[in-house]
Amino acid sequence: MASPQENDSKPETTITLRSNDGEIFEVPETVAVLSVTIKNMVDDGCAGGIIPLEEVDAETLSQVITYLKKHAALLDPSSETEKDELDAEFFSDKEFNSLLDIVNAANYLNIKELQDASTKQIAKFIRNKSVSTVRKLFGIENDYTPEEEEALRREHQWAHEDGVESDED
Amino acid sequence: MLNYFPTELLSEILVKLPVKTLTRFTGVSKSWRSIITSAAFIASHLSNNSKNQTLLLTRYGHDNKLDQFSLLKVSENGGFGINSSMAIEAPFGFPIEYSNVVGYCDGLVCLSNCMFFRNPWQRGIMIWNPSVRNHIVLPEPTINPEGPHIAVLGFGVASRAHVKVVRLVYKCTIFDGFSGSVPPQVEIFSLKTWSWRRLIGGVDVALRAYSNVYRQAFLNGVVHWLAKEPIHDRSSILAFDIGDEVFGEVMLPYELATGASVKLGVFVIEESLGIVGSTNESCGVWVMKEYRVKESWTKLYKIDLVEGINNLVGFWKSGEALLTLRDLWLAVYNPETKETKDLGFYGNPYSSYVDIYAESLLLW
Repeated sequence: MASPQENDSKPETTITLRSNDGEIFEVPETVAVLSVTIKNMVDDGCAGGIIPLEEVDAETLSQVITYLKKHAALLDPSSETEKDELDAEFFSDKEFNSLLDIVNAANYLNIKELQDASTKQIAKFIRNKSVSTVRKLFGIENDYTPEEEEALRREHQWAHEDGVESDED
Repeated sequence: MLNYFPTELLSEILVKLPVKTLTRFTGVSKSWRSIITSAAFIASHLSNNSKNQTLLLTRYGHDNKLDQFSLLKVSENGGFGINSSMAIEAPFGFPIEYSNVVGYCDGLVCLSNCMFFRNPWQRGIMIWNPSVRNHIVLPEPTINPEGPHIAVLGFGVASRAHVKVVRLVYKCTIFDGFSGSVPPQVEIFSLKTWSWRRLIGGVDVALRAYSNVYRQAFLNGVVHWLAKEPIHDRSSILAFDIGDEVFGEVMLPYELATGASVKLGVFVIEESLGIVGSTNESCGVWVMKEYRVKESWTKLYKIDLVEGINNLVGFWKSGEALLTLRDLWLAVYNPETKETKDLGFYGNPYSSYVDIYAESLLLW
């Protein structure tokens, strides 16, 4: 990446981001513009000042930046294996609630790779979960009556058996 | 924040889940159910799914009785191979062994036992989704002429998950040698309306479709049947656009249209319309490079029926032919290397058929 013999190598531009809870993050421009949302703001001339990100908190933003830096540093950006390894490592220590925050952030910041990877990760996480566990995870209220729910379950009983995890408390 | 989880984002997660999980998750809430069962979601789930490498193998036994369905998982590492197979249970109560597969489309299999039972109380047409484990039996068709007649069925899914079955009824008289007079009477069953509707007008096709023992090919929203033009005894393809409900003809290359001892089969080959013409010695594989352009029929290759090769049962996405070997085994023929590889899976002594299969939520 280093330009060889030039004495006056261009200093790398930094973008300043601010999370919705007030924390400041300095990020190299090449990394920041992997977010199409940020790239558009930069193109619109916001680069000089601080870019406020209303929808992302500090914790999540820090994780997103880590992801972007790792992706920018990939030796072979076209290698699916390298990307998969990176994603596996990135998600290995993430709790479900963080996954939801990250996918929302990826959507807001328009980072396609992170959105694809995190939706895939969430799908993997919930694949064998029971209905009531999923409701808890997503904070969804059950709007079926007990009779409706029972009828639905009976109709597709096979889908609730054989490999489906039991309800988590 | 969880309450404001955008629907598009939720759909992006759900679309990556298998049918069994999604069937269960319709119980999470009414809004989850309406997302999962919407035509748009079903379509995008199906196309997301089509990357899965699965074949549906239909095996017929003695006397053309339907024997078994299996799902075969394909691997393409180091050439075409099959990793595993799983027999799937056909729905109860339907006399499966006396049925014919009319066609496969978008995760649905259409079966009919009309060929075997003259008695109306035993006849039936069924549409089955193996991945959702649901099936429906159609209401009785309405065209039932007094004298002898032949009925041919076609099956497909038009846009917006519009599932339809088309039924062609040819009256048999002494004038056509009891083979069936053209034009047929036609009716269409639509899952949306749950009823049969007669097609009046636009049915002036002078082609007699072959019976459902010969499989249809469904491509570009059009059902294609092998057919005969009775006056000149010429073989052809009868086409029916299942969305627009319009008939047409697709002409065959001359040597196949008039060849006397050539057995024909219509297939979808790498997303084009294909024809296989078989003699005792070889199978010729043709493809229509430009749909509905007769001059674009191209002979791709010929497989010599040597070393126990029996017949062709279907084609994989990349054009390899699947066939039966020594009356028993399923094999794959690679047209580039001209090699036949025994896949180690039981085919069938009498006949088999493969479809490229994807799970779908239709008929949930």
